[in-house]
Amino acid sequence: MRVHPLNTLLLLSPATVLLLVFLLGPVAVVAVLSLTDWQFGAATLNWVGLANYAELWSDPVFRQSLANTLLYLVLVTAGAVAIGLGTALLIESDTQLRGFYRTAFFMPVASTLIAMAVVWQFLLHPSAGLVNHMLQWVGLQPQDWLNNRRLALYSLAAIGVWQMAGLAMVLFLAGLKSIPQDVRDAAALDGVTAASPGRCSGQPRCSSSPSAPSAHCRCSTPCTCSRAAGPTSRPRCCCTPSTPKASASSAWATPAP
Amino acid sequence: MVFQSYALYPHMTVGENICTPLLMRGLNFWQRLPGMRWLLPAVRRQHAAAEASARKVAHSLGIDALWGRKPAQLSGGQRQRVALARAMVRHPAVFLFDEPLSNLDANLRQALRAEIRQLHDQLGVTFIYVTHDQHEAMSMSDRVAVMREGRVLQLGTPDEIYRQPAHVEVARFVGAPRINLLPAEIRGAGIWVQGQQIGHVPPGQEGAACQVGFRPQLGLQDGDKGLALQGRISGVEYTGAELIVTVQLAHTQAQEQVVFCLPAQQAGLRVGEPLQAWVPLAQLHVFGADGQRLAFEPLSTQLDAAA
Amino acid sequence: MMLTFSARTFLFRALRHLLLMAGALVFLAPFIWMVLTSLKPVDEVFTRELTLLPTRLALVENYTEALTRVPLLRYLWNGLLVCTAILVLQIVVLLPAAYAFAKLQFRGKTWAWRLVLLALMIPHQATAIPTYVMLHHLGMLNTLSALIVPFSISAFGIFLMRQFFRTVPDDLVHAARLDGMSEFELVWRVMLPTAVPALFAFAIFSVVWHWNDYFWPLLVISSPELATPPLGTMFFRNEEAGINYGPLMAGTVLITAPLLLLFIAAQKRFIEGVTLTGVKG
Repeated sequence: MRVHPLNTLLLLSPATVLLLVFLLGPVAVVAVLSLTDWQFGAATLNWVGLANYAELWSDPVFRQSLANTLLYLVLVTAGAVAIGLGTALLIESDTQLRGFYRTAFFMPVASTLIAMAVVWQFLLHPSAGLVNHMLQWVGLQPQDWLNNRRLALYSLAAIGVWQMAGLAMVLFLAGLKSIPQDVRDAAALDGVTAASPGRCSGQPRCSSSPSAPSAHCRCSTPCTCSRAAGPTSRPRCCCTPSTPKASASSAWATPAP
Repeated sequence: MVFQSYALYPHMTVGENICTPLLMRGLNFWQRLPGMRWLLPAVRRQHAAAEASARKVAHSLGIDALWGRKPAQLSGGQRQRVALARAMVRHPAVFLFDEPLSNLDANLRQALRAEIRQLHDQLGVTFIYVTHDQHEAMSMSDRVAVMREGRVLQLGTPDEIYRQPAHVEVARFVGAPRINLLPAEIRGAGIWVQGQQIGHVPPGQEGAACQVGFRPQLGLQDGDKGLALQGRISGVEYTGAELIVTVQLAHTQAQEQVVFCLPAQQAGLRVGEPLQAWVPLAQLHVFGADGQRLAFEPLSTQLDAAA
Repeated sequence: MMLTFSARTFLFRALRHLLLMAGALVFLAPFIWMVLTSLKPVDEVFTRELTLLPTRLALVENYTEALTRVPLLRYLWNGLLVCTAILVLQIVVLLPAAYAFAKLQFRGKTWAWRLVLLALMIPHQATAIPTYVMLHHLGMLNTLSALIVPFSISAFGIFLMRQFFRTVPDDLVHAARLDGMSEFELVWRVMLPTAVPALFAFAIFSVVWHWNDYFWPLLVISSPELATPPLGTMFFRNEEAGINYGPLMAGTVLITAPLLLLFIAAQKRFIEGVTLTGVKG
């Protein structure tokens, strides 16, 4: 259905204008200015081409800062992803206290980093800080975390990991939750059919009342409990084999969310 | 317009959904701003009038009990009725229906089909109804336009569409089971099917590959007048009221099959048995290479005396 | 070692709790320490041994000191004002544009969308200098508008809402047009209500980002009365000269508390929102 072009223009114009003025325009200006010798507040400028970039690249301070940044980046990303994945897996593996753990690990992400930086400065204080107190308590040597040249970057990286791990955890949790049940069933089922279709792959546990059996089998298909003869025999649990082909094909037919 | 997906506003109640067209038309831009309803008495009056009309329409469709519910809380049939109410409330000159019943189950579809037909008689307004279901098209309409790839192939009453399809696609579309189509050859002025000449066609079609069709409901026909078909039964479906028999033809190049609908009591039909049938020439439809119907004059010697 | 199923579960659970609890303690330590220190009097802050709990509760002194040294409540108020204004402006600007990209056809649409995607990648710092100069020429420096206006456009917001609007069925738009709605009304009456979850996610993202933004207020704000919470923290820290940690921690508690309390109260929505923006973005 055709919409009058004027209407479309009106809908788009505020966003487009603001986009150009505050985002794309400035970037273009910065790109152009980087090729000149404009000083902040100066009235005139001259074209110098790539001389600025050459100067920057030959500056040892810049190269060191670039190296530091890359190191920091690697440390924080690796640390945050590792811890995020680890905590996500641990949290997802059971149902107890999930909410609490999720909140605890995510809180640093929601906090104001500047304010927490002040707190970290205190925590890492060489004499009064908690970290050094704890190290002394276990017998290790306290360090000057933020002023020692060799340690400073790693301390900052640790704070960075602290801030980001919760975000990684939350994204991994979302990813883990989004694995369709079909796929999990198919995976579990493949394990069962590899052994034998009638047997359970884990330790069964039936409730005491035979009229309402509940089994905790390691199968994804429904289990039936049966009490074997004899008072001391353990109840056995049998998995109802479902057609593995149907499960598997439906698993791959489910579109990824 | 009534949409296939109902297109009800999910955040509004049924009542608000039905009132929306009246409010949009009745109030200007400034009157429609939020809060105006409480500020200006004129706007309040409009709202009240709109609600009164909407309630009347809802009552006529039997959905006034659902007034305060949201679309997510309604069943498919109820949603379709609300969509209908929303279209009706404007008293339009023409109703457009875009496959409104295709998302409903068969029973509901039948019930609603009857209701829509009733509504049409009641309102006396033109309904333009789009559907892929040929049963719906044939049973509900006064006139049917069969379209393919944006072009109208034929416009006529359901009877015309069925008995005199103007295009092979129209013939294929209408009728269940589908019309049987056999390839035919034009030699000179005559048209040949299965090695037999069945009649004459207008000149100018020499050598063209065309098709000849006949409906499965014609039965096997006794006697030896008409187009003779021989073959072996390859499938028998029993539907309770009739038998649908698929026959693999004997003298064919491309393994053609034809389907016959026969009364259920017919005996002696089993898969693998040979079968012979004659199709009366007067019931044949001839379509040219471009699909258009060709004027066809059956061979008088083969015409059944009673046909 | 053949353990029963229940024994194995118990062991597994215990181990899991141990690991997670240790991790949670480490992650929550700064917050706990922050609150505890804010309750300690001056003499108990710097001690030889580790003392967790204060012997004397200095709650009143520390917090009064924090509130009176610098206008902390003012900072919080500024933060609230700025974040709300930014969010409102963003919504007003990006909803029509997202709708146009999602549902309308127009000339140059692909190129316009590519521009939006390009803008998504621009880091905040890259545009700082020209924007600063622009604001200077407009005489808007050191005002709250300088904090609000440059952020009224969010390329991420347009991206997110357009992805969401694409899931709204076209029939709904057609029905609304047939009912007599203009495009403008369509956006506000039909698209907005259906987009509430995505909007909520975006709102969380925007508020958290702008509440915690330190870089831009540092550039454009010089008077303390206009400071936002992060900038206020820095002013406060300079005032305290870094010795009296009690009131300093009290100050940080007051500054981080609003966002953290909001998070704890609505954590499910919060995390859902972050996931939505993270996964889709």
